[in-house]
Amino acid sequence: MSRVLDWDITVPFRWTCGPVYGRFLGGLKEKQLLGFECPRCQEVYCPPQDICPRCGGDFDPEQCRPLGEEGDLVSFTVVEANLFGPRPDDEYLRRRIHPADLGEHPLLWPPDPPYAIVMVRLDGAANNFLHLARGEDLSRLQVGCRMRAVWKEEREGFLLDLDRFTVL
Amino acid sequence: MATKVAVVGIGMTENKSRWDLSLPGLYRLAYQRALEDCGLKSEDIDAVAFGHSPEYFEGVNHPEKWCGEAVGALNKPLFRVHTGGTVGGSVAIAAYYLVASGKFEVVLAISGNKLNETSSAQIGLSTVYDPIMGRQFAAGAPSAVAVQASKYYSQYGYNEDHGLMVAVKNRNNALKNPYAQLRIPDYTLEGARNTPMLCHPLRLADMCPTSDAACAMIFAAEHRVEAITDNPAWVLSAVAVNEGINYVDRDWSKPIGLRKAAELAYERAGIKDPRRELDVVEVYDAFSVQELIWYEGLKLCDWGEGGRLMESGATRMEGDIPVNPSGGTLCANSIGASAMFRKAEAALQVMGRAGEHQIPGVRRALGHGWGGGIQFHTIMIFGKDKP
Repeated sequence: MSRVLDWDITVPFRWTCGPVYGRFLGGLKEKQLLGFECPRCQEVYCPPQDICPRCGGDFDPEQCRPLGEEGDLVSFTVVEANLFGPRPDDEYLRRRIHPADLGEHPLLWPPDPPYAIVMVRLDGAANNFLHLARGEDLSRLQVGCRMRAVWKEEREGFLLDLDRFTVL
Repeated sequence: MATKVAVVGIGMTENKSRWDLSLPGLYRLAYQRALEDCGLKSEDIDAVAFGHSPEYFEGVNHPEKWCGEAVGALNKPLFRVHTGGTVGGSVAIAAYYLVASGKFEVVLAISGNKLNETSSAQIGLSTVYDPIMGRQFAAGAPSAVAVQASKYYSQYGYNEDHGLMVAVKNRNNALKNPYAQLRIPDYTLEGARNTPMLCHPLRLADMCPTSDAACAMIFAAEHRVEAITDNPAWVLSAVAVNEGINYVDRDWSKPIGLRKAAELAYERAGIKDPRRELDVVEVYDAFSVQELIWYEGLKLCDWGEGGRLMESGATRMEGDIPVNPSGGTLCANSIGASAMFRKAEAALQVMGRAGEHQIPGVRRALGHGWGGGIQFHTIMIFGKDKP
């Protein structure tokens, strides 16, 4: 006779970002989208990678400059359904998921649908940036349209300091 | 010169949610069926290549610890391989390499998962996104593939019907496969269009189910094959390529990693025109639209022609290049076993033992797998004739 056991695992994590991502996230706090130039092949990445995926070069965290806030929409999806099951209450998420020093950002739970995941090619970058769009923009998204960054008022060096991209 | 290698035995479990077997129990069922399939005993297996996708799905880390003895890996070499959804393919290729190297003569490849043991497979799949860039808004695997789909449809003037046509084809094929999970009679395009939109442009009909399943394949060196079976599936080529995750000008709708894997696989198998020289293809279509993109990556047609190849009917069971006669991953997805099911189905087609979904007269068949950030690809090509 088979039997089914129910159990739960609760383990907070903290993730080291390293010098390149660390510099990038620091830029977001200053409302800057930093492009990182590969010292070997000179391609500019935003967001950066730890290693240049084209030539294998190592990025220098100081070899970066702010790009503009606009780019082309390469592709997108509008997430229309909650695929995760019922959303736990915020207190539960904080307790389970947030190391105290990371503030109160829900790290592992997506926004409530509908929202869009947008793939944006920032002007001057060689790779694509995945981020969010919301609200009235959801019905205006079209592959190829122009997008601009919208910043949060309060920023602390986190991907969601950039609140979303909006359709121009 | 590498040793020639053939598949001599295959064991599959049915894809479904099942509460009668533990994780080791599920692996053991596939293992025993593979041994029975070719009349071998546990002591005939020299080594085991073991696969399983993210541990999140069962909440059991390092599952080869729990499952090793269940698959006969007692006092013999066991190697764990892990490439996400591709893992079943990577494991089969690893087992092939172990035999081809000449160091082992008979090797078991086995891979599986019980996706129904987690309360949400999609939360688990969101933990595949890195925590610095992207996990904040990921909605599991569908949200990534939906971005791939939007690009594909808009780039070539296709629409969501093209993905749904794949769903209708494969769901009808699955009716002939007792191991498939989604076996829905009278599945129509109209019905598929009426399923809920989950991640635009992907509807429920465009998505795979969550399955519990395991798959096993036994690979043997040339000099051992004859004594085991008179109906082997010879490995003509085995290729794995990692495309990379966010490189310059990456286009999710144009998988250059798969194209490279295909070109290498065809070259090694002596295939010049895959559309004509392959008799059947099994691709990892976790989402309908991907089948169209993989047609192009595999050079069954040119870039941008996948939707038109589907419209032509060529990839239906009775077409000139049938794709996924088993119903594919769209009708059964345990993730851990899925890429191996594609290889095992291709091998069964070559052996002429695929049952009701057998394509007549198969001499060469290809099985594919993908995983990770739509980045890992595996291909194996099997032949009826010894290479």
